[in-house]
Formats: sequence, C-alpha cells, structure tokens
Amino acid sequence: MNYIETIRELAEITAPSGFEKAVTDRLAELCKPYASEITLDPLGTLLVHKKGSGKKTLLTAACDTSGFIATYIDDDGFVRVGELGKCIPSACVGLPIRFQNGTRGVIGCDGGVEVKDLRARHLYIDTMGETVRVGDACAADLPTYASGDSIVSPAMNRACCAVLLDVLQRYTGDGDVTFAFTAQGMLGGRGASPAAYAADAERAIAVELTTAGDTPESESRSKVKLGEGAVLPVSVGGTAANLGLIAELEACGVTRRAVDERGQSALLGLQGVRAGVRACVAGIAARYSGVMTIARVSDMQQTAELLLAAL
Amino acid sequence: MLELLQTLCRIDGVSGCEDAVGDYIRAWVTPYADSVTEDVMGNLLCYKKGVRHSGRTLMLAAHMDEVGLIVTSITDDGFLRFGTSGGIDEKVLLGTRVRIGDVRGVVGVRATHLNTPEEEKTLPEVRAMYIDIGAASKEDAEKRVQPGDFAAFDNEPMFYGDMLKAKAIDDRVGCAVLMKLLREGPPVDMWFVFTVQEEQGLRGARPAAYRIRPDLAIVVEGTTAGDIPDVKGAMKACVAGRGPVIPMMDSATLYDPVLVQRALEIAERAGIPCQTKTYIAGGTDAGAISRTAGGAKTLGVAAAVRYIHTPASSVAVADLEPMYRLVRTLCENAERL
Repeated sequence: MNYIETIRELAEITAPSGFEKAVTDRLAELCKPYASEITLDPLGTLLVHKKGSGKKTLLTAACDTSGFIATYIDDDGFVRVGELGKCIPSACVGLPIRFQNGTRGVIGCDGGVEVKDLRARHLYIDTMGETVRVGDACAADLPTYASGDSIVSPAMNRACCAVLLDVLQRYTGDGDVTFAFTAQGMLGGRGASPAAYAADAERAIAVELTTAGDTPESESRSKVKLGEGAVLPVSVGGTAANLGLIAELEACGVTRRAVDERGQSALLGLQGVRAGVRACVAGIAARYSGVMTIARVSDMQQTAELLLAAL
Repeated sequence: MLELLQTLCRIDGVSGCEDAVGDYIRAWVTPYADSVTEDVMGNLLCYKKGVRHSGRTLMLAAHMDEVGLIVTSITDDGFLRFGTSGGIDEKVLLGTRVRIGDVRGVVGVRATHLNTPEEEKTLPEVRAMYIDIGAASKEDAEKRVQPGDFAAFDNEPMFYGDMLKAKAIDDRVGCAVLMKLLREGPPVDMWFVFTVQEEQGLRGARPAAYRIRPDLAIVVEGTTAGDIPDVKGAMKACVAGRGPVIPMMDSATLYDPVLVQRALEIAERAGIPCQTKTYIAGGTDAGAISRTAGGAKTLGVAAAVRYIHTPASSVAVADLEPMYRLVRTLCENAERL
C-alpha cells in the first residue's frame, strides 16, 4: 500500500468528530474487497469484519479529526463555534478551515483578549459571506504532504486508519479480526466502547498516535523518538494497558515501551466492555498535536508488520 | 403540566436519594403504564404500548435527581458540615434555606466582624461552610440528623412575571413531560425511563440503557440559559421563552447530527418554536446512553432554565407546552428520525 497517497486521500476528506460519514464511506469502499461484512454502528463507527476460525481480535483506529461545529451565526455572518476535540485556541487563530458543505473560512478571534486568556469562545469563523447553517461542521483546510520519510498532516489520525487498511489488505491468517474505524475519537475515544461491544473480541489493539518527546525542551517524560518503530505505551493518560498483551506484541517485532501522558485514547473504552477485554495501544510516534502533526511512514509500516505478526 | 411540575419540584431527591421522587412517579404512572420496573440503581423503567409500533426500540429519559448537599459530620456544637452532590456554585449556598427530611436549617454565614480584609473579598470554600439546624448541642443534632443524610434546597415554587421559579426544575420538567405523555398515550410503543444519579456523573442511565437497548433515545432535560444582563450572542447558550432547546452538542454528547437536523425540520413543520444551544456546556444522560453496549443514537430536548442548579432555577411558563408538544411530535415521527 502506498501510505503517502492513502493518507493524503483520507486526510483531505473533511470529517471531524461526530461527522465521520464522509470518511467512513470512502473507507468502506477501500475495505470492501477484503471484508466478510461491513456495518456502521449507531455512533458512526465503521466495523469491518474479516471472518476467521482463530482468535478474535479487534483493531481500532479513530477516523475522525478535531474540528469545530457552528453554534451561532451573528448578524454580520461571523460564525461562533464549539470544539469537536480540544483545540489550542492560540494555534487556531488564522487557521484556514473548510466546512463539509465546501464553504471555506478563516478563524479569527475577539479583539482585546490576551493570548494566555484565549479560549474557544473567543474564536469565530469568517466565511466571507458564504453560507453555513448552525450545526454544520468544519476542520482545518491544510494540505497533507510528504517530506522524505515524514508525513505532515492536519489529520494524522487517518494514518492510523491507513495502518488498519494495510493490515486488512495483507492479512491471510485464520484469525477472526474486526477492524473498527471509530467515531468521536477526539471527543475522548467515545466510539471505542460500542465498537468493542459489537466485536466481542478476546483482545483489542488500538492504533493511535503517541506523543513524541524528541523535540527541544520537550515536556514529555517519555523520550519517544520518530523513526524507531511501533511504540507500546504501558499507560496512556493514566489508563494502564494490558501487560500480557504488550508482551505478546513485543515477541512479534521491534517495539519500544513508553508512558504516554496525553488523554485521548480508546484504551479506557475498550477494556471495560462486557466482562473485560485485554487491550493495549500500538502507537505511532507523532510530533505536535496543535495543527500540523509529523509522523514517519517507516513507523506506520512497522506498526502494520507488528500487527500482522501478532494476529 | 404546570401543576404537576410544581408538585414534582416540591419533592426532595438529591442524587443518591431519589426514593421519594421515584415513589411519587411510580404511583402516578402505574395506572397508565403497561409495565413499571425499578432496577437495582433505583431507575424507574416504564413501558407503554402506543398506537403503533415504530419498528425500533424508542426510549425517553428524564432524571429524577437534583443537586443538593450531603451531611458529612456534626461539629461539637451541633452544626453540620457538608459536601455537595452534583455541580453547585458555592456562591449560591450562603444564607440558603435547606431541609434534611423534616429538619429545617440554613447555610450559615460568618459574621462580618470575624472576617479579615482578605476574607471580605473572597468566598469561603464549601468545607468551611456549615448548616445550622438550630440544635442546642451535638447530642441534640444527632437526634435529628446523621452523616450521610441529604439536604435539599428548601423553597416553594413561585411565579414571577412570565417565569416559574422552583428548585429541581432540572430535571423534574423532563419527568413531567414523560409523565404527561405516558398518561395521554404515546403515538408509538416506547420506554419511559426516570433515571437516578444524573448529577453525579450520568450513573443511572447506563444500566437502564443496558437493559432496554434502545435504538434511539430522546433525553428530556433542563439546560442552562444565560439570557441575563451583559451576556451577548452565543454566550447566552439559550434563551428562556424562546421555546424548547434541541442541543447539537454538550460536554458529554454529540447528538446525532442527522437526527438533530431532522428534529429541527419536524418542529418547524409542526409550527413548534424551538432553538438550538449556542454554547457547548453541561451534559446529559445521553452521554451514557449513547455509549452503552453497542451504542445508541440520541437526541435531546430541553427547557431553557435560568439559574440552573440553584434554589432559584426558573423556567418560562410559555416554554412548557411547546416542549411537551415537541417531544410528542418527535415520537409521532419516530420512523422518520
């Protein structure tokens, strides 16, 4: 699979949290030749089942991106928004955005607010007179591109989806695998739990981005570097991963253990379902969670190899 | 419905101690419901066949609990220390009348001559506040109250202008809508669920949804209105008197975007005034219901409530009938949602 082309295609689809249909429609097309069954759950998660007689495994990747929902349009046409996923308000000022209906805009902010006091409620979208409705959703309108082995994208979750696609296309074993492209990942991994309930798997592995700590004065205590293969966080945002499952993955390829301090993970939602599911995260090291994220194609490929070996 | 709402608001049901509300609702709905079940959490699950079956499992939910206080200890001189149950802004507590069952009290305020200059500018923390029940001694207080007892705001419903003030409008207004629809007969087969512990983190709704497995749940609520002086535009969130609110999103839930648009269209076609929420705040049982088991689609309908979570919570009387009509109309259109 050509990761760069696949990620670019998926990343250019405007489909923020809760509004994933545009991307799940495309993912369903890409999965169709390889799937036994494809369903959409009530939250909008795409469940792709590859039937098998062996062990039941669930692989998840959030297919949404962060973005905004229009909540109020003032008399002059400026659009007030709610956050779909936590934004860094100061990083959003000046950001070009695109609504799902194609309307483009630029984010502005109320005058007289100090940068440190800036909150999402101070932001608005200037759509230059083009129409949007209250309830319409938008996301960053920035290009995804490659630079050497790196990919730069405002929608890097779609790289995790690409890893799942790669595994689906290449897996020939007898394991029973559900590939869940989950909805509302940026809203606290809300799609994970219903997906795990539907899959009823023995084990669940979430492919997610793991905060890299290889940048100047990084505050990340886990010094994860780009380009060193899959990361296996023992803990994500305070939720412990299943150490037995981590050991199983470690036996399958090059990996590094880490502790990931960020909060958004499917892990908590996956492990508490039914009578409990063994769950862990297979992480792709990624720099910057503000607007543009950087990750390595080689890390994505190695994560896919790891999962193929583990299934 | 106005009478029923006032009656419901007079009953105390702080999160974790909803028994009195549950008892009242159970007795009231039993003649009309086809089945009434109380689960281990204290949720009331009522089923009622409608004029037709919609082809899917429809659930209406409203929470019975209200924010309040819980007694943590009794001081040596017979005053009560307390914590809060549910989100309460401590500003509203000072000098407030409360009741613990039949025991009346007030949240005491330190006499001004005791305050340092710094204390005059700041609010005391809840841990420094106390409830005065007029006890002569610790022993006297212990005869009437024990740690773990719940205290509710002690006040009577009151009409002012176009508004009705009563404690616990959030969410007895939702309970009243469900009860009325149950009595009048729903258009389609459906579940009416009265949940517990919503204000403590949506705790009752999950087991209720797990048992019912709804395809679609409509959560009927009270939501925060900020239509007060000096608040502009989107920050008002919603406006009392402008009809029921169909929220697109709050801190716990992103209501199904397609259903939200359809609900707005259905309301418009039926000529029911309604509004969306212009600021993302609060949370409802939909957060739990939407993620229970394999998940469920959710919609919200809420009354705009000023001063929510305070003794003075207030709703526009004119919003109540449209709110009921909206819920009923949405159920009538269940197949189109």
